Amino acid sequence: MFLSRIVLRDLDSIDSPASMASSKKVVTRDEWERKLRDVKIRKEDMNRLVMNFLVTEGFVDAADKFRIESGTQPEIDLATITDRMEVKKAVQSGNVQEAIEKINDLNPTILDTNPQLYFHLQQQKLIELIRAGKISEALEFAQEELAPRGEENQTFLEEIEKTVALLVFEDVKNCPYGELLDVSQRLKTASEVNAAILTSQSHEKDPKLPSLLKMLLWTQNQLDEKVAYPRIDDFATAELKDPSI
Amino acid sequence: MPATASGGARPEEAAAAPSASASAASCMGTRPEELTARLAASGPSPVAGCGGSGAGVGAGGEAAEHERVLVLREIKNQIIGNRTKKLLYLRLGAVPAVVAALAEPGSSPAALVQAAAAAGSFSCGVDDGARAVLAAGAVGHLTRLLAHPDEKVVDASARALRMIYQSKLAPKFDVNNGKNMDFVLSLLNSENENVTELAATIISHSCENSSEQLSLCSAGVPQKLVSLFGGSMNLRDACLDSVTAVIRNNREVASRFASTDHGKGFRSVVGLLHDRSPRTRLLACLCLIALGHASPCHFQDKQIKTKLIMVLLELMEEPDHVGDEAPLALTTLIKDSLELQKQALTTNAVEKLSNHLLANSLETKRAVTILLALSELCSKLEESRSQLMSAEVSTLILEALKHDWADIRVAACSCLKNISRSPKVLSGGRLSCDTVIGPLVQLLYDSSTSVQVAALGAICNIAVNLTPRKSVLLHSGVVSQLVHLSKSMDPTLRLKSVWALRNIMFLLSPKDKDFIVKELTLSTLSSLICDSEHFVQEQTLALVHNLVDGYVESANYVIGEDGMVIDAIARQLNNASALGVCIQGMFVLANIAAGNEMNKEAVMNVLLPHRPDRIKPSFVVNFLQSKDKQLRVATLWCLLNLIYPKCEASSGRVIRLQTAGVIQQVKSMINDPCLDCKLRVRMLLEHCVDNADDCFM
Amino acid sequence: MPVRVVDTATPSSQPSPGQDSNAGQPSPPSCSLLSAGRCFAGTQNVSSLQKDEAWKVNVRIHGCDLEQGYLCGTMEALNVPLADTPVVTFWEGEIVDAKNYTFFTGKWEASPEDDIRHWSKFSSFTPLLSQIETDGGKSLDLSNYPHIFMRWKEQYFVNVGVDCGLTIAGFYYVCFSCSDGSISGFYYDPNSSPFQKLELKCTNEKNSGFTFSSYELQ
Repeated sequence: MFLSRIVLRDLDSIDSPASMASSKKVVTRDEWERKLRDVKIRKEDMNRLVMNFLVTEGFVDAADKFRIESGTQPEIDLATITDRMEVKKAVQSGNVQEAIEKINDLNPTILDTNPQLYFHLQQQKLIELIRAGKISEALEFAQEELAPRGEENQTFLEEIEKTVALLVFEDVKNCPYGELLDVSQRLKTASEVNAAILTSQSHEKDPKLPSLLKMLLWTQNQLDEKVAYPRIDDFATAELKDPSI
Repeated sequence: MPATASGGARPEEAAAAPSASASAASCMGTRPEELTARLAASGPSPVAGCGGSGAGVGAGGEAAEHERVLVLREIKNQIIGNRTKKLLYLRLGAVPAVVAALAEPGSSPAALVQAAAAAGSFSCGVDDGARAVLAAGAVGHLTRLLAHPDEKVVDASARALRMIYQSKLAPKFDVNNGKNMDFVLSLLNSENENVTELAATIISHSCENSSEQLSLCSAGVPQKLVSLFGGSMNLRDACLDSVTAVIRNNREVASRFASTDHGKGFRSVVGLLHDRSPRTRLLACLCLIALGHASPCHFQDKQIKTKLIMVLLELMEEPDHVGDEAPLALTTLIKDSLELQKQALTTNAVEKLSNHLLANSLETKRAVTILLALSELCSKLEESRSQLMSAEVSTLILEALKHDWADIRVAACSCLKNISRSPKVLSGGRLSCDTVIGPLVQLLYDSSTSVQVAALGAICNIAVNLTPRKSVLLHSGVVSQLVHLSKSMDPTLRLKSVWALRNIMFLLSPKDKDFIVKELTLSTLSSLICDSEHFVQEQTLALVHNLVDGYVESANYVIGEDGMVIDAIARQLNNASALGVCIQGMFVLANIAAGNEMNKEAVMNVLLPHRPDRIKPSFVVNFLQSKDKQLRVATLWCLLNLIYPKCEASSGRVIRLQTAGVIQQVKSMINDPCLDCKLRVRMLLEHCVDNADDCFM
Repeated sequence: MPVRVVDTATPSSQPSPGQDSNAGQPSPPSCSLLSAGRCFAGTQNVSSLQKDEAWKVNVRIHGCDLEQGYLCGTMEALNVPLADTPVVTFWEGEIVDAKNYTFFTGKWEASPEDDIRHWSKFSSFTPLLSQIETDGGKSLDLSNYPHIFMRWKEQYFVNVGVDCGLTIAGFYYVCFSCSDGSISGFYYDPNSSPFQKLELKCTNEKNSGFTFSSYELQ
C-alpha cells in the first residue's frame, strides 16, 4: 500500500445516447399480412398436428374419419386408442373399479409403478361412494383401502384427510373440499390416467398443439418489447389486431 | 435356461382357511381369504385327496379353468398397486398357487396371462413378494412361456420377468455362461418390444462385475442395444440404461464402446441429448457421465461436456423424477473436476440452481439434490463461492440448517463446508458471525449422526479464525460439545470433532488455549493420542502442536503432569505408527524444542531415551531416512531447534546426537533431493560447527 | 482460490504445515517457512524526495496452495502517518512457478520491462535472467531454487475505510529466501514513487527455535 496522491482527473464526458423515447418500430397490419403470406407452411404438417391432437386426446372416431379423409396416418394404432378411451370414459362416468380392471388388462405394470395414480383412482372411488350416499360402504372402503395408502406413503395423508372429511359433513356439496365432488375432479383423474397409459405405450402424453400456442404467446410477449405489430389475442379466431402505437 | 420344476404346491397345503374347500356354495367370495381358497381349489387337473370342490360346480375342465381365470384376475386386480394386499396374500400363502398356474401344462392362455401378471405384481416393490415368487420357481416357468404361441402370454411373461429382474432380490444371471448369453441375445433379437425390454433389464442386472461386462461387450451387446435406440421411447430408455450399466466403471468396455464403428455408439448417445423426451435426455447424460468416468481419454470434447452441463441444468426444470435426478447427475459429473466446475460456472450454473431453489419449496427431494450440486460447485472454485455467498440463496441455506428434513440439513452443511473451504473466504470473516455459527453449533446436538458429521465438517473449516475479530465460535459453547463428541464411540464423530478443535487452536490466544485444554483435560488428550484410529491420533497431535506454537508455557501441559501427554507421544513415535502421526508428532516435539532448556531436555529424552539396552536405534534415524519429505523436514526442524545457537546446553545435545548416530545421518543427507530438507541439513550442520565441540568425528 | 484440501472421507496422512501438498511432487516450489500461520516482521521504506520514512510492517500468511501457485495473507502497517491505528490489508499472491504464473505480470499496468527491472533488483534473480531473456523462463525448473518469487496484490482494507489516505492500487514484487525465511519486496505502482522496499524476517523471537502451526480444511 502507499499514500495516495490526489490526482485531478478530467471527468470524461460521457456521451449520453440521445434519450430514447419509446422508439419502437411499428409494423402495420398490411405489412404484417403481406409478410405472413410469404411464409410457407406445409399442409402435411398441419394435418399431422391435428391428427396428433385427436389421437392424444383420444377422439378415436374423429381420428379415424380424419385418417380416411386426409390420408394422414395416425402415429398410434387406433385400436390402442379405443382401449385407452374406454378407461378414460369409465373414470369420467365414475366407474372407477371398471377403469382399474381395464388398465390392468391393458398393462398390469402401470398402477404398480404409478403410486400416485393408483392413489388418485382409489380416492376417486371413495368420492363416488360418498356421492352415491353409500356412507357405511365409504367408511369401510376408507379404512381398508385408503388408510393403507397413507401408511405406505406419507405424502398422501393430506389428500386422504380432505377426502375423509367429506364423510363428516351433512351438506357435502357445500363443505370445504366440496370441490372434490365436482365433475372436474373426475376429469382430472381421467386425464392423469390418460397420460399414464400414453406414457406406458411410449407415446408423449401431451399433444403438440398447445405447445405451439404457448410458443406463439411467448413470442408475442417478447416481441412486444421491441415492436408494435398486429397481435393475435384470440386463438380461436386468430384475428390480427391493428397495432397500438 | 434350465427351468426349476417346482410342481405346484398342493392345494390343501395352500389353503389357509380350513373350511374353504368345503364351502363351494360360497365360492363367489372376494375377500382375500376366500379368493386364496378358491384359487387353491380351482384348476383343470383333478386334485388328489382334496376335500373336493363341493357340489354344484362340475369338476369339468373348462368351468374350473374359467373359475381359475376369474380368481386369478380378481387377485391380480386387488394386489396391483396395493402393497398392503400383497402382504396379506403373501401371508395367506397365495403365491405358490399363482405360480402353480404358470407351471401347469394345461393352463389356458387366459389363466397364464393373469397368473403372470399377478406373479409380476407380487415381485414389484415388496421384497417378501419377490422372495416368495422366486421360491415358487416362477422364473423358470415364465422364461419357458416366452416362447408361447400366444402373443399375449409372451407379453405378460416378459412384463412379469421384468418386474422380477428389477427387484433387488432378483436371481443372479450369469452371462459368462454361454447358454445364458445366447438366451439374452435371442431375446434382444425378438420382434416383441416387451421381450427386448426384458433383455435390456436382464443385461442391466447382470453387470455386477467387470468380467460380466466384458463378456457382454465381446458378444456385441452394446452395439445391439444401440441399434434398438430407434424403437419406442420405453425400449430406447431401457437400452440406454443397459448401455450405461455395461460400461460403468469399466475402462476397457467403455473405451471399446467409444471407439467401435468409429464411435457410432458414442455418437448415437450424444444425439439423444437432444431427444424430445426429458427422461431420454437424462439417461443419455447418465450414460455419457459413466463413459467419461470410466474412460476419460474418450471424453475430451469440451463442447460435449458443456452441452451435458446445460442439458442437466435444463432438465432440472422438468417435473417428477427427471427433475429430481438431474442435479444429482450434475454433481456426479463435476465431482472432483476443476475443469468441469469451471465450465459449469461459464454456463451460470450457480445462478440457475439458486434461482430454482428460491422459486420452490425446500421440502422436496429436488431441493436436496440442488443444494448438493451447489455444494459441489463450490468445492474448488473461488468464483463459485463468492457467487453463492452474495446471492439471496445464502439466506436460504442458513434457513435450511433448521429444516425438518435431515437430508436438507446435511446438504446445507455441505454447502457451508465447501464455501468455507478457502482461506480467502475465511479471511473475509463473513461466515464467522452468529447467524451462521449459532445454527451450526445447534446441529452438533442433532439426533441424526449424519447431520452431526456434516455440521462438524462445516465447523471444522469455519473454525479457522483468520479474522482479527474475536472468535464468535469460542463463545458459542461449541468447545464443550466438541469435547463431548471427541469421546464418541463413532470414529467419524471423534475424528471430526478433534479436527475442529485442532483448527480452532490455530493461532489462538493463550488464554483461549488454556480454556480448551481445561475442557478437554490432559487425560482425554493422552487417550486421543493413542486412539484406535490413526487419523484421530494424527489430528490430536496436530492440535497439540498448534497449542504449543506461540505459547511457550503451554509446553507444560505436554511435559508436566507426570508427562502423560509426552509419554503418549513418545509411545506413538516409537511404535511404527502411521506416517501422518509421525509427522505431527515431530512437529509437536519441534515446537516444544523451540522453548527453554527444560523443554529441550524433555524432547531429547524422547528422541534419545536412557535405555538400558541400546539395541534399538532411535526412531529419529528412521525418520530421517523416510521416503516422505514431510517427515524428514519435520524431524530436521526438531533437531535444529534442539541445537539452536546461543542456547546453553546446545553443544551438549550436539554430542549426544552425535553419539546416537543422528548427526552422521544428517551429514549423509547433504544432497537430499528435497530442497527444503537440504537447506535444513545445511543449517543444522552449520549450527553444529557453531556449537564448537567436534561434531565431525 | 482453494487451499489444497483433503477429501472428507480420507484425511491425508501427510499434511505439511499450513496446507496439504502431495508429497513427492517435484514441481511446486515449496518451503516449510512459507506456510499458513507463518509471521514475518520488518519494514517498508516509504522514502520520497522529501524525507526518509519507514513503516513497521507485519505480514501473516493465511493460506497456501502450491498446486495453484496461490497464497494469501494479511499485511499490517504500523506508525502510518495518516492513520491512528495500524492499517491492515488482505493480499493475495501469485507464485512464479513457470506453470501457473511466470515472471511476466501481464496486468496491473506492469510492462515486461517493468517486470525485468524489478526482478533484477533481487540478487537471487540474476542467475535466471539469461534464461528468461531467451525463452521467457518457460523451461525453468524453479522447484529446486532456494528462492521463491511472488507477486503480492492487496485486495482490500481490513480495518479501515478506503478513504484512509492510503492506496492499494499497486502490487509487490517479492523474493522469499527458503533458507531463512527472509522476504524482500518492491512495491510497484505507476502513480507512486518507485522501488518502495519491503524487508521482512521470519519471526521467532520469543522462541529459541522455529515453531509451526497448521490447519486443515475439509
